[in-house]
Amino acid sequence: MLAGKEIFLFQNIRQVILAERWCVENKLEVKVIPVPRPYSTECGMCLEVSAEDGDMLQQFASDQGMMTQRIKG
Amino acid sequence: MNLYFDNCATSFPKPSAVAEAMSKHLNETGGTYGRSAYPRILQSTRLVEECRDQLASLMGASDAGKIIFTANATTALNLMVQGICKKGGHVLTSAMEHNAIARPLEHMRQLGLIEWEQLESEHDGRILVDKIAAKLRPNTILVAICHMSNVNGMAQTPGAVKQAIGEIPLLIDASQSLGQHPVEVDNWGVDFLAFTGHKSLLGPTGTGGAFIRHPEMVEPLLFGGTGSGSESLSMPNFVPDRFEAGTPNITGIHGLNAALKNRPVPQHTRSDFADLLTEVKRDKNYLVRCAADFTNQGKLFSIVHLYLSGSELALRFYEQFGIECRAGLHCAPLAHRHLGSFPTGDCRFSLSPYHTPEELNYLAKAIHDAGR
Repeated sequence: MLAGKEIFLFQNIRQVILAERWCVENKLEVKVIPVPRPYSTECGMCLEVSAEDGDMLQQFASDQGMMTQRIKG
Repeated sequence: MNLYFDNCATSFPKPSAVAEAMSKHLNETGGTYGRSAYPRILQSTRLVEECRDQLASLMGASDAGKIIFTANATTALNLMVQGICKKGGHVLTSAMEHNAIARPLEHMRQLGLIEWEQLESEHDGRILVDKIAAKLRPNTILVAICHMSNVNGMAQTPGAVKQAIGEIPLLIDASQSLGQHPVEVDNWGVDFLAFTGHKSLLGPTGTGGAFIRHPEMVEPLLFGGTGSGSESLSMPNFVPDRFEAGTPNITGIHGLNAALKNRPVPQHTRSDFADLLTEVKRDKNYLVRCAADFTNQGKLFSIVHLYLSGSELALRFYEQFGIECRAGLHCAPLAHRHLGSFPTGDCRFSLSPYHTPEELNYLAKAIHDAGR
């Protein structure tokens, strides 16, 4: 993982899409990437955001009742 | 002139955007649902989730994650009926059930798992809500009702039924209603709903699904890959994954999504439809099967001729007037028993939002002429 980035793993595909949509709507820089092998095989895609946006995305996920795994770079 | 009056079987025409969206997925964009993260997949997956969100909005469900896709309403009903009834108990239905509910229930009865019986109803099949309480038993595990009859178009009031049954789960089959009649699962307290994409929603065949408020109450019908929790040999316990094993009908769902985003402006008014029914009811050669109260009337009705069978009528309508309609039992023998048209059935007409007042007038005249 690049320095200054964070990765968010979600329970399923729908949650990834909802979280990505929220990031775009709120003008967070977000990238959908394949789930890195060292972390999980939970689903095929996850989100990469800048470290400074990580707390905002975590708050959104918590508000939505999403189970996430947050990996800091 | 659009003389296709069999929209209850499957709607036609569709909004042009449906075929365009499906063609685009097949010929240009491609891509599966989830599983990896390259742009082609991401675009395809976004559209599937957009469709789920649109469906939730249409049926008044606040949690779109509880909507799952299946091949059709029958698959969804089998999932829920079999998945809920495995533990056994007593089930209540309406008098107007389609075989999509009746046959899975009867199968579970034949396996010795459940008993099922009908609620008391008005002549048009409407449930007598104040008689429900007398039918409830301590082991009643489900009330499963067809929201809108595919025989006479009569719509039940699920909110009133739910009030009468309290905590007992309510399942509604919205195959005919969703897309042409109000559906409010949250406000009504509906626990489970089945829908199809190719009837009133104007999407392609091979699409449909369920709203499952209590996933923990339903055993999956299918087991397989979901792209989630892959290290486990058990199905995930979260939705929609729990009930979506295997690659979904992505092309079809893209088509359904386009249908939901491109709903046509109806070419005829509710009043035009009321005028058609009034005109047909004037004809003494027929008995008209419809809701007693027009407020509860969906855009379909059936007729029984005094002498001609439904199939004779349907042939006459096509050969003499070019009208396509459906004769027989419409896979709803229980409804016909209740309405008094079993086993001969009747002749059914179901409207499209694309029908014009002129086409409804043509139908009314053809019904008069065919019956003479």
